Amino acid sequence: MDSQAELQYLTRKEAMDKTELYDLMTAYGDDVRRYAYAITKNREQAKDIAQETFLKAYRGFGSFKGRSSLKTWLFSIARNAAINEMRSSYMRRIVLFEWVKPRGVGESAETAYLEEQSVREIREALMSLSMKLREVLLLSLEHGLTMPEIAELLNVSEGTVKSRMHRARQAMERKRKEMER
Amino acid sequence: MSESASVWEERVKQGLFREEKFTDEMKKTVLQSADRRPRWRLAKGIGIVGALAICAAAFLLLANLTGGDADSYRTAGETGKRIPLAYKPLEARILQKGETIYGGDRGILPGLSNTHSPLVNTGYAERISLSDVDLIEQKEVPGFGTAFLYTLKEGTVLKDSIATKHESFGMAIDGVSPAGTLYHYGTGHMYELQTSMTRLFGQEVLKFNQPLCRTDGEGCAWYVKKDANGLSTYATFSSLTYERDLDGDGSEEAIVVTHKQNQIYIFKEDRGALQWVSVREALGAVAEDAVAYDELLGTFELHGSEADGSGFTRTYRYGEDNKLVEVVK
Repeated sequence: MDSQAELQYLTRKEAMDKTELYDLMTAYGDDVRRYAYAITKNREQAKDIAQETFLKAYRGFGSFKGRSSLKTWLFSIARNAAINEMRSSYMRRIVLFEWVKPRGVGESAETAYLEEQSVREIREALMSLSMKLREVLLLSLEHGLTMPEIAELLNVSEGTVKSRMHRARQAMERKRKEMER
Repeated sequence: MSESASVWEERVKQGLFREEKFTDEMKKTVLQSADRRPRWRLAKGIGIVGALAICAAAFLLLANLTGGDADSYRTAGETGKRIPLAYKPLEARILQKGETIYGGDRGILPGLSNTHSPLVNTGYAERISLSDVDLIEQKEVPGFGTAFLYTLKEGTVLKDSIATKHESFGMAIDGVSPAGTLYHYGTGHMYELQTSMTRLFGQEVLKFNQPLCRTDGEGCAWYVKKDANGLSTYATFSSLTYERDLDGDGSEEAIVVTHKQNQIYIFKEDRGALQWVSVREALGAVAEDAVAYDELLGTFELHGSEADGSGFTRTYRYGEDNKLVEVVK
């Protein structure tokens, strides 16, 4: 049984303690952060949103009725937080990176760069899709959510999810072909 | 499903963002914040605003210790007051490619260390082959490309500048850079720089920010942009800067904050020319007053003292028709 399955007992509880919060972050933290990143396309925002998601989950655990899986519930909190953040009139300056001290000199830049090229191209293609298309694709493929779960999370019909999936796949195919030219 | 579809779908299933981890540090922050309410979300913003507030407080304390002149307290900023901002054309030369900045050059505005117009015209960065560099580190910049930190290999010859052994910085730009090449931006280790994507004067730009970079205590910010021809410097400021569309016209102004003379300038761009206004001057601040910009709220603050010695803080938002409007609390 994986750590996510083990935590399903929480669905029968009214509140969680800090140990359970820690376990919840361990089990779902990466997924939540990646999902937030897929929505916002912004690392720092995604980091903040992921942390905020678990704080809200901890404080508002009583509102979790167990109708959905813990993961879908956390994703819905993250999604609301991300959309609120993007709607905010104030867009904070986001620090993308700071260089840290050198690891060492002498690697072949060309080799390292080319090795990552393929993944980069897929990422670029995917992140250039509209949020609606990008979201269903990642929820389905990366996070393994079912069509009904995605529909519930996005508050749309399953038919809409299927339609978006179809369009997302077509768009990805198109972009991949453009990149190969 | 086509073969290529199965390849990319398989890659997505494996996770495209594996570096996005919920780290132990993040868990610790959440656990520490779990029993505190609420304000956790604003921690970063408070830090920035707090820093400005501390500067202002220090400024006031210094003013009080040195004894202010009661007659000099001005009356600007009555409740609900609207203060028009009179923008002026910036009279400063635009730095051209190959031109040198000399130490003796004077600043273009009081307190601002720029010796030329913040807009520059220094051309495009030279494109070189990745095989010419020894890579130290690379970072993806979503929406822009890949940033590289490297040293040039011995024997590399550059057309536009002298090749050195020092660490250099360059970028490959998505959709522009031919495979296996990068734009050699220049020499510098870049270790303490904050890098962010932002918008300035209606342009999408990559910003490099160094809060403290000058011997006079000022920070530095420079903005680079990409187009079909490559990578170029768009603007530079010898001070802290913020970008915000204050007047809602779709073009982001530069809010420039200096330590020297505690100035806040707003710069607008119009068809390649800059206009500026001093917030300090507009608010009628006197020597004992301090002005501050709240990055989080996009408001301006005037900190001062009344004739009886009590302190005040007046807050202004940017209103219609380029006016500062006092916020009545």
